[in-house]
Amino acid sequence: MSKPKTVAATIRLVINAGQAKPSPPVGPALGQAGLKIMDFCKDFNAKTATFKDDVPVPVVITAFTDKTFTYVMKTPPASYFIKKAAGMSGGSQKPGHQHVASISLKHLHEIAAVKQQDLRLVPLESICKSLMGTCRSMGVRVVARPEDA
Amino acid sequence: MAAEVCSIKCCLADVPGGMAEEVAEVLLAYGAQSVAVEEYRPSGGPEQEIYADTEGRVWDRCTVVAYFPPEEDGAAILASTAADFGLQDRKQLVEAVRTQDWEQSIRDSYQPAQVGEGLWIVPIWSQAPDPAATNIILEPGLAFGTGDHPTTRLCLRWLQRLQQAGSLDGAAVMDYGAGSGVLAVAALLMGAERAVGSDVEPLAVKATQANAALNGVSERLAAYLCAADLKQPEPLAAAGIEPQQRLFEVTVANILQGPLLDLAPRLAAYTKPGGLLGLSGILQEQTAAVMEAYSPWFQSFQVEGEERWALVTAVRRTDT
Repeated sequence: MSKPKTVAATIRLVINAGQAKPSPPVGPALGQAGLKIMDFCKDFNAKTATFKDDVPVPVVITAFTDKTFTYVMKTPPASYFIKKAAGMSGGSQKPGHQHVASISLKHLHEIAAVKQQDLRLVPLESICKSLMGTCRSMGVRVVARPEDA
Repeated sequence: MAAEVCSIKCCLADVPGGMAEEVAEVLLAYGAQSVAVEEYRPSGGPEQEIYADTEGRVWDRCTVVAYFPPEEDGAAILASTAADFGLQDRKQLVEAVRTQDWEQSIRDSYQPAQVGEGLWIVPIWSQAPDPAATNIILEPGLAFGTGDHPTTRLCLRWLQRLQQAGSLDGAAVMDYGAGSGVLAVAALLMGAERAVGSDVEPLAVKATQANAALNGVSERLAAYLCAADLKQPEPLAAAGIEPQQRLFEVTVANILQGPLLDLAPRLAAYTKPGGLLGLSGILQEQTAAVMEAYSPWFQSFQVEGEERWALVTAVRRTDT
């Protein structure tokens, strides 16, 4: 039997490394597609066992009509890296007006290099520009040199 | 179980394929816990099949299904996102999802599974395809171990080899991290005399007891809740079990690399000299670290793999 499988849905969600459980968000999302929730949880938790705790991992699951599935993991959201680099726990209350924390260009470039793993066709400079936009909306100041951060 | 609302399901129908993924990303950015993109098929319409081998293709018309936490205004976020993409005239559906709904769909997805020659796992509502085989009856639920995962299969086939070698006859078996209890129950069905299952999740302890009853082995299987923190007392000693009853001919642990590395001394203490150890829930590339952690107490290591997963087996040393 060589008929290829047909896709039923693609499902996107973000799960902290090592913390996939049957409760929301995983439960309803996978349950709706009839997928084996615990199998996904164990698989995901094992594959993220070496990640740092609490790293948010975006996942894209392809669910097939026969209830099997495959999935890929992507790099954490840019906001996670920026928060960590700027040493902050929350964004600015008045984006664009009140600067809560700062991040150096060098650091921004390092984050861009990581994000490029998911955006291989996008030039590094474009990713940096996009990250600067994210910084601005988070109220994070971008400074030229690490010493100024 | 209380039918509480766990999520708000918000659907946007008939989204053009070219923008469906972007709509999904935006909804995620605005607080959706998960977003699914499916085919949009007005009732009676033809299916447009997207095959697994076509990279990144989407249907021409999609339905986007977002789940929001109950405290978010999912309906409003969906409406404003639809408007941003010029889709304000598309049908929007909002409904509460209760914890029970998706549990039922988990139920629907389990079928009998053959693990090895003459060895099946049969969900409680199914008929065993081969009544003469060793059939492990399980009620699939929230605890891990339904027979579908490669690690469960690796461990079960190992137990079957032990059975064939006579190593399970009259043996005491420890299943650490028991989940559904499938391994402990299997060992008992295969001739072990008694088994202990231990897990950090209360639901797993309940599932182990329930599955033992389904297979008629309740009297021979004891299930204990243990703390994840190894500095807490070892569960059997804490329950007043005497030292002789805390020793086993066979110890199996299907967990994950992290806990397994820390558990080496405890699992060694459970295993009689010359006893047999099976460890899984580890990836092939993690086996070296696991073997190193266990070598002060175990020898004759062997590794077996299925897909990316590995089973490490060993024999308890007599000199340590």
